[in-house]
Amino acid sequence: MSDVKKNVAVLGGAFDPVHKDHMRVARTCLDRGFCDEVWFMPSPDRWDKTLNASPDDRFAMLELAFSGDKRLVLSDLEIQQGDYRGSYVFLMGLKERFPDINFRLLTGADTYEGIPHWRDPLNFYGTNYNGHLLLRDVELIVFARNGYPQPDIALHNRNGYAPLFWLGPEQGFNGVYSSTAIRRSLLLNRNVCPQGLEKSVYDYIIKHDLYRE
Amino acid sequence: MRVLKLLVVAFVFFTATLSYAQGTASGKASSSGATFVENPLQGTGMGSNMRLPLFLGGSVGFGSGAGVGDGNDVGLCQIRPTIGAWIPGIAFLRLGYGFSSLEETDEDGNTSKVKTSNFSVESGAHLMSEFFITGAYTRASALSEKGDISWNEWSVGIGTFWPVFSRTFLTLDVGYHWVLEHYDPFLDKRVSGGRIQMNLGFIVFVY
Repeated sequence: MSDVKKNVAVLGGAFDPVHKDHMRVARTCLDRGFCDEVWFMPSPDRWDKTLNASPDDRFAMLELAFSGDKRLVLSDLEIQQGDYRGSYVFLMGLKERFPDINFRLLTGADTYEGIPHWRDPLNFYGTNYNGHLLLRDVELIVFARNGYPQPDIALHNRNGYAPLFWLGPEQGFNGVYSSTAIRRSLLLNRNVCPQGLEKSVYDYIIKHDLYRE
Repeated sequence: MRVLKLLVVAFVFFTATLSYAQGTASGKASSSGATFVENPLQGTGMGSNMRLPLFLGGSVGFGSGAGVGDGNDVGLCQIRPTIGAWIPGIAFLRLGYGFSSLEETDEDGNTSKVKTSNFSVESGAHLMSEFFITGAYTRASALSEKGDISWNEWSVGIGTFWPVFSRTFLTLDVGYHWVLEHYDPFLDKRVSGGRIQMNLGFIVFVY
C-alpha cells in the first residue's frame, strides 16, 4: 500500500534555532531514498518545554536556512494549530488531510528512546499516553545523535511497531550539532557565529536580539 | 519473588506503625480525657482516643480480573499507602497511591517488566456501626519500555474494620472495579472489563 504513495518525512521539533544538522539529515534522508520529500514542521509553544524564541522567529530562521531544494518543504501547519497537540495527534491529522501521502516521522535517536512515554497533551489533563500508538501507526526514520545508541530494530519489529529506518554514520550521517549547545554558545559570546549555525540565521538572531537568557 | 518482597515491606511497615501507635496511645491516655471528634462508636471502644479524624494507613490489594498480571489474572494488585479523614460510624474519605510491578508476556512469548501505579479517591459511609459501603474513582497507569498507558476505573464495595489498639484499626473491604476501555500494547488490543478486588489494610489516627 505504502509503496504506491509518495513518502514524506516529517521533521518536527522546536528548531530553537535551526542548525546545519537539521538540513543535512533531511538531505541525507532524501539521498538515501528514505523519502521523496522532507517537510519541516516547527512546533508551536509547548506545554512541556519552555522555548526560547517565538514561533514566528523560529519559522523565520528556518526560511533563512532553506537552500531552495524543492524536496525540502517548510510548513507552518503545526504552528497554525495554535496549541501543542503532540506528534501523534498531529501526524494522524496529516494522514487524514493528505490520504495519498505516506508520512514517516524523522526523529533523532535521543528522541526515539522517549517515544514509548509520550503523552497526549490535550487528553485527560495530559495524563493519557499515546507514544505506543505512534510507534504502532507511524513509520519512523531515526537518525544518529551523539551519545545515543542505535535503536534495536529487531526488538522494534518484534514489538509489532511500524517499520523503522536507520540513518546513521553508515548511511552518511552523524549528528554533531545541537540547538542547546548553540544557545549556550551565544550566551557566552555573541560576537562569533557558533559552529553549526548558518550565517544568515546568526545575523537574524543578533538583529532580533534572541537567546539572551 | 517481587511479590514476596512487597509483602515483607508492607508487613514491616505495618507492624512498625502499629507499635508506634500503641506506644503513643498509651502515653496519651493518662494525661488527656477529652476527645474533640464526635465518635458514635466510642461506646464500643472504637477510636476512643482519637482527637482528630485524620489518619494515615496502608493496604494490600488482591484481585482477580482485568488489570492483574497479563491483563486478566489472579494475584497481588497493589501496595497502597493512604491518607484521609474518617469518622468511625459515620463516613470517611481517603486518598491512596497504589503501586506494584508485574511481568507481561505478549503473544510471541516476549516478557516485559511493567510498573503500575494508581491514584484513587474513595469515599465511604457506614451502614451499621463498623460496616461501610464505598465508592471510588481510580486513575491507573502502567509504565514500560513498550509503551506507557493509563486508564480510569470506578468501583463500589463493602467493608468493615476492627480496632486493634486505641487509635489503630484493621480494615477489610471487597469491591468490584469497572476497568474502562484502553489500548494495551502488550496484548495489542483494546482492553476493558471488571475485577473483584479485596483490600486488607490498616489506619492509624494521627492525633
